[in-house]
Amino acid sequence: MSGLLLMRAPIALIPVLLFLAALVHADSYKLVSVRAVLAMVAAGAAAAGASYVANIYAYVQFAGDFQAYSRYVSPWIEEALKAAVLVVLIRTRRVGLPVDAGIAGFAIGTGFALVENLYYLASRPETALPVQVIRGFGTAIMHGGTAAVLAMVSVTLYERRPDGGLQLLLPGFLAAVALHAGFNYLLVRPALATLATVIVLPAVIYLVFQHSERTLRDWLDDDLDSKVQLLEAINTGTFLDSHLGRYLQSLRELFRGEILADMLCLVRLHGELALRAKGVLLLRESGMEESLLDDETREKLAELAQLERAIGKTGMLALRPMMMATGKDIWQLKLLAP
Amino acid sequence: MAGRLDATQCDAALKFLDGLPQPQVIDLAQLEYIASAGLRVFLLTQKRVKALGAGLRLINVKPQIHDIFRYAGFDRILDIARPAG
Repeated sequence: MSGLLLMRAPIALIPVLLFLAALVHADSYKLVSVRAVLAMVAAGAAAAGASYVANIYAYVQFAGDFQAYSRYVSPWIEEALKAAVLVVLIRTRRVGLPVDAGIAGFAIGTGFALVENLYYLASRPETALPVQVIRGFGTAIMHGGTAAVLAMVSVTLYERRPDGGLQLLLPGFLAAVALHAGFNYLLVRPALATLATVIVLPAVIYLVFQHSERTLRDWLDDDLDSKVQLLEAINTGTFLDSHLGRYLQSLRELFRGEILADMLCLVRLHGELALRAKGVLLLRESGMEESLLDDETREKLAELAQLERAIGKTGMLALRPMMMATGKDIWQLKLLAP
Repeated sequence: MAGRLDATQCDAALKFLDGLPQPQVIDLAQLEYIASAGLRVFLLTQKRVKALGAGLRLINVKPQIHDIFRYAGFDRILDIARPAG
């Protein structure tokens, strides 16, 4: 591959990298570090490599022509490989909000597009530079956009059902495949495909992004208040008279006394850690670098894990109406991880 | 500071504190309630004051307000003192 080709590939990606940088910059709570973004770009590039192998094998088996293959088969393969990276991030709670999910998806798609662009340039070196740039740019926005859509839709669904299975990824995956196939359908006119993609996808992603930032700020306020009230009630001995306290007491018929005691400890501990996690978010929003992960927090996290084991899966499910009911409740504790 | 430092008041509070050349001591004896927006006000002020080589000190902090700072971990970042006695 000549040096000229290597130089041409990034030209088409500059606007995409700028949009990715804009998303990272707009992330007020610094949910995704630059290092994590680079790792996701690399993961997307690896997915593109796997896609190359998978597409070669699948195309050999396909009965139709290349145009039909690009519209009806390759979107499924490519979106599935990008989704494989996102599944790991979502299921391990490394992303939990549309904000960080959108950045993650767009970064993975950017990495994917970089490798795909390099391959396209190497296989068609005679293509004029403007065509290369338009096609490369549109493809990069498409790959970033579809992965971002998949990620944002999926975390929104997991927010409501944090224990949901892989089927919660299906709506976002189908949307990504549809957008990808639509782009490939328009590729007979690259300028039109690029224009449609550039107008629609970044605008949608940015609007969802801004909405998610506002929602996060509102949740910070509401959840901070509720956790403070909870801890005050526990500390002043009035918790059992509260709505949540009465619910906990109702579990007496189902669980032994020591399990109930552990449940109360867990509720308190989770409340304290949730407030510490909100402190982390507020520090990041203020642009301060101090770490709040001290020995006390580490011990509380270890104790939390121990209590969850002691209470057991059934007990934790019974506690779900009181805590860890949403994806954010679970995700926020990841902020305290080293 | 007095009353409630919530989302409706934080902009005015931050504007006031930003207008002070170098606020160092803030008396919170009359502060009844603080939301995340209020915590943000103190963090941003502390960040500004630290850059000038000083530090913010919050005095006469009511116990329930002090607990919020402590749970959030901000007692490690801000100098916070409860009422004497």
